[in-house]
This record gives sequence, structure tokens and C-alpha cells, in this order.
Amino acid sequence: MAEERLQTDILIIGGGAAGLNAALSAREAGREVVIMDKAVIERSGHFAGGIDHFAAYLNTGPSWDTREAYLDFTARSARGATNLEVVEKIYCDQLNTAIKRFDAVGCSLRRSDNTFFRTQSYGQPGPWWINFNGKRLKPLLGQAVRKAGCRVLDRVVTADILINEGQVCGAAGFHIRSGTFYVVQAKAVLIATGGTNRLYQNPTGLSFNCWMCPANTGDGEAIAYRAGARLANVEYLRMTLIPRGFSAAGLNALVGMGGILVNGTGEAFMKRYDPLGMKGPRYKLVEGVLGEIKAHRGPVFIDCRHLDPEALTHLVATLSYDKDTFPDFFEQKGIDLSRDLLEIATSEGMQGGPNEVCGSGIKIDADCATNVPGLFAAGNSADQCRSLHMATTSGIRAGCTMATYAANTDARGLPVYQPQLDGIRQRIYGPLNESRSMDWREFEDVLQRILTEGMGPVRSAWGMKQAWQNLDLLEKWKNEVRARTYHDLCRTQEVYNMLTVARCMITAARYRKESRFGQCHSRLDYPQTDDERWLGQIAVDRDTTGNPRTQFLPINYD
Amino acid sequence: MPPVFDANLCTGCGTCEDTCPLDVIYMDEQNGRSFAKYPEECWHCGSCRQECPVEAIQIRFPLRVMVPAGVVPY
Repeated sequence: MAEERLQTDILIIGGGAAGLNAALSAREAGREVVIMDKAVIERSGHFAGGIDHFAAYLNTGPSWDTREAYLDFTARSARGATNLEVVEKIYCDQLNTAIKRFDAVGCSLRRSDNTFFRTQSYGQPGPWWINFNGKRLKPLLGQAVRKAGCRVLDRVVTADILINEGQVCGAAGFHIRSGTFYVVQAKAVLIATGGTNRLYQNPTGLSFNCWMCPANTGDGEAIAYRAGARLANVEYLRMTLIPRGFSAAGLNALVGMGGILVNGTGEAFMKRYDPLGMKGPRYKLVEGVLGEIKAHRGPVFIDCRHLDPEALTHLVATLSYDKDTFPDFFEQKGIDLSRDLLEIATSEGMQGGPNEVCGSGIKIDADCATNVPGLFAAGNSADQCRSLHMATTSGIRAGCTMATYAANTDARGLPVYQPQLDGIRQRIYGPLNESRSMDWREFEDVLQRILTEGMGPVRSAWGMKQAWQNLDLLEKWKNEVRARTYHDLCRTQEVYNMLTVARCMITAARYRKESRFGQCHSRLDYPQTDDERWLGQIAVDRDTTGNPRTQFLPINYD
Repeated sequence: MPPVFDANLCTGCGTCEDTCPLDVIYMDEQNGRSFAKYPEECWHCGSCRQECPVEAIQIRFPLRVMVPAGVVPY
């Protein structure tokens, strides 16, 4: 297999909103930057097709519009999962720079009259969501990054982080079209690969018809874990509400503009599940729909017919900014929101943080640094970050801290350790071997069945043990997965990485003997939230035998 | 199923191939036109359609999206 070698100061894995903002900030500080992405950065990752909301407090006067209110909400709503000192540094301190960054790349958060269109949802104390047209955010960010002089390796998927003497010295991967092996030597490496999707069965049977980007399969979390990094908040399941059949982003717009969930008898039921009703947290909305269906009061719909024409026009427009094909869905289904109810269902599950202000994944400190020297994380792959607002701000933060780190590291970083490289090569191209016979889709399907059954909204020690044992059986088939193309080789890597994240997820969930954040972690055998014992994070890392191990990290909110 | 390419409009410029975040779209070596090589891996994100310079792409949702039925896991 052909091989290409590059050297740089900073290597960024994943060219989404977090990675590209990190790249811009690192370039502003004068560092050399290489970006590796599975796709082409102008249209890669979760915001590939667009995005319509960004959470911000703007200090306009009211008490809800302040840093204090944001931190207070984060502490209350993500209690036990969020680290406020990290959030302050990676979000609050970068917020102004982030808003200016949108203007600088030509995708302003403001409307043409220079004002912000703001909406409220998910239990937040005020209208923190800025609605904007982010359909061209990714192309604009991508072009800015190339113009800034970053080297971009499009269609190169990362296989592993390179480590020498306990320190990060780069990463290796392969091109998903040509198969070329890439080795990038770097002083510091950022993981910004997003969350872990495609881990649970999709109700339509179409695995890629998922809420968040199906290319985000926990690759960064898995390679960081293999490199010795700690993961946190990975026990949590995340679900949303979707138009039944179409697993699309858009709930925030529907709820934020005033849509009301009703059951099969036409009753608006949410007040029975949360005192805030439709303005309650996302997991409560999911709980409400699950509850109504279970009580045979389905089907469930969202009713937008009461909205005034102007609000409806904004709603349909902003839905299309969040998911470009929403209008096509309405048209092909024959749905007109001013006239029709829209049937709603719960989405597939995913591994994700408990809400919009807290993430899950690689554990970071206030510098976006991990416990592995030279390894950083940002965006949805980091344990504290979620949504566009934290992808952008943590990216900016990571770009700055990595630039400083790289400036202080001698020469051009440590050399690559050849035996590790040989091992990676052997491992990643293994599935091309003709003696293998299983398709990655079959492997993924069984993995999803295991997680859906044992790691869903109702968990128990027995159910999770069963899931673990089923993963043991699945693991025996790992070396049977065959890839006939480099595209399929990429998919094979993805299902392997999903298996790694699944292991970490079950390990953390079995360890946390309480319930927290509704169906995010709901245990039949420990149904109560127990702050006395479990107010904090469970860190998962790899022990010397290669198995996940846990450590409880208490968090003090006083 | 999605995306659907209009062969009469497609110029074979390859823009859609480069804009697909899931590596679904390839160029047909025989006729030089785009096609969905891995249609079941489409995310319905609409990136290809947004970038197509000649508006040759339509999104047509698969049957299982249009007609959802059956037992939901939870």
C-alpha cells in the first residue's frame, strides 16, 4: 500500500465545526495545521447540510441573559455530568470570539437588520437559542480554513493516535478511495470527530436515517481510549423526538416556535410529565411520548396549527436550515403544518451527553487537554461539549491552547515509533483479506440489537450483563468482517469503533448504581438519583490487559 | 433511494461527489455522470442538492421513511 508522510505542529482529526474553528485559531497563533477528515471539509460532519441554532447569553439586561444564569442552568440541568470551571473557560470565555467568528467567515448569527432572532426551549430560563441560516456554514468555514493556509487531507480516516514515550506524536489513517496509508507527525493532536451514532436500532430499519450524522461513529472516542485517554459521561443514552419515519434534527425549532405535543385523543399531555410542559428538557419530551405510547394513548402528534402565519413561515424556513430536506419530506408526505398534525416518534438511541449544554466522550480539562500529553479534544467528542455553541467555542479554545503547547514543545515533536505503525497497518488492512466472509452491515446490525435490548431507556444489572456477554460473542466475529473496497474498509473501522464505545458505555452504566437524567440512565434496580454517592462523573479508561476500567470522579457544585 | 440525478441535466462536474459527507455519490466511469453507489448510506442531508450547479438533483425519500409502521423498540 502506498504511504504518505507529513509533519506539522498541530494535527486536527475531524473537520467539523469544532475542528475547523480550532484550525483557524491555531493558524491565527502562527502554527502549522493539518486537518484529516473522512469526507471533504466543506460538507462534512453533523453540520454538513446546515444548522439553525446557536445557544448564547448576550448580556442584554435580564438576569437570564448572563454568564451566571448560563452556569446556574448548566449546574442544575447537567448536575453530576458538567464541570463548571471547564465550561467557563471553554464556553463562556470564548463566546464573544465565537460570535465574531461567524461574522468573519460570512455566516452571521444576526438577521439583516442586525438583530438576533431568539427562541426558548428545553428548560432554559430564557430565549438563548439564536435562530440563523447556517446552511452555508460548513462551506464557508472550509474555505476560510484553506485560505488560512491549513493543509487539508480530505477523505482520510484516522485509524490510531501515534504515541512515543507516553506522548502523542501524530496519527495514522488511510484514504477511503485510494487506500493510501497516511502518517502525520505532530506535536499536538486534536480529536474533534463528533459523537457516537448508529449504535442503536433505527425504527425504520435504515441505519443511516439517524438524527445526528451517521459518519460520526465514536471514532475519536475509540482511538483516544486506545491511546490511554479517559472517557466520561459515556453511560448516558440520548434520544430525541422526530417526525415518525424521518430521523431529522428540528425538534428545537418545532418546540421553540410553540408546537404542542398531543396524544391520540387530542390531549396536550406534557404537563403530566414536566411542570414546564412543552418548555421542559428534551429527555422529558421523550419520556412523555414514550409514556403515552406505552399507555396506549398513541399515536402522538405535534400540533402547530395555532401558530400565526408569520411564525409558521419562520418555522418551516428554520427547519430547512437545520435539515435541508425537511420541506421535501413535508411535500412528499403531503403535510402542511398550518392544516395538518405531524406524527411524532422517538428516535433511535445514541450515546450522548444528557442535554444541550453538556456532552460525553473524551474527558477534557479547561484547556481542552486530555490526560495523555499532547492529546486534546473538542466539540461533541469531548465530555463537556455539545451543540454548535460548544463545538465553536471549544474549538477556538483548543486551537489557542494547542498553539501554546506546540510552541513549547521542542523541535518537531517526537519521532514515530515504527513498531506501532507496523501494527496499525496490519490491523487496518486486515479486513481486505479474502478469507473473511462477514459484511460490516451484519456486524453493525447485531451490535445495534444488543445495545437496543440491554442499554435502552430501562436498564438493569442483569440486562446489562447480558448485553456485555453478547458483545463478547460478537467480538469473536470481529476478524470475520470483510471489506471489498476502501469505502467498506472505512465502514469496518466504524463498526469496530462503535463496539469499543459500546463496551465503555456498558462498563460505566453498570458501575453507576443509581438513575440520572430520566431515560438517559434509568435503572430498574436503582431507580432513584443518589447525589450522596453518585454526584460526579464515571471515567472509563483502558487497563493494562486492554479492558475498560472505571473511576468515580466526584464534582462539587457548592 | 435519495438522491435522484437527472441524467439530462447532469454535466458530470463531480461537485456532488465531493460534497457528500457519507461517500455515497460516485461518478459512473462509463457515462461520466453521478450516481448513488451506496444509496442506503444516505443521510438525506441535502448537501449534494445544495451544491449542484445545474439543479440536477432531487431528494426522493425511501419507502420506509415515507410509510413508517411497525413495532417501535421502546
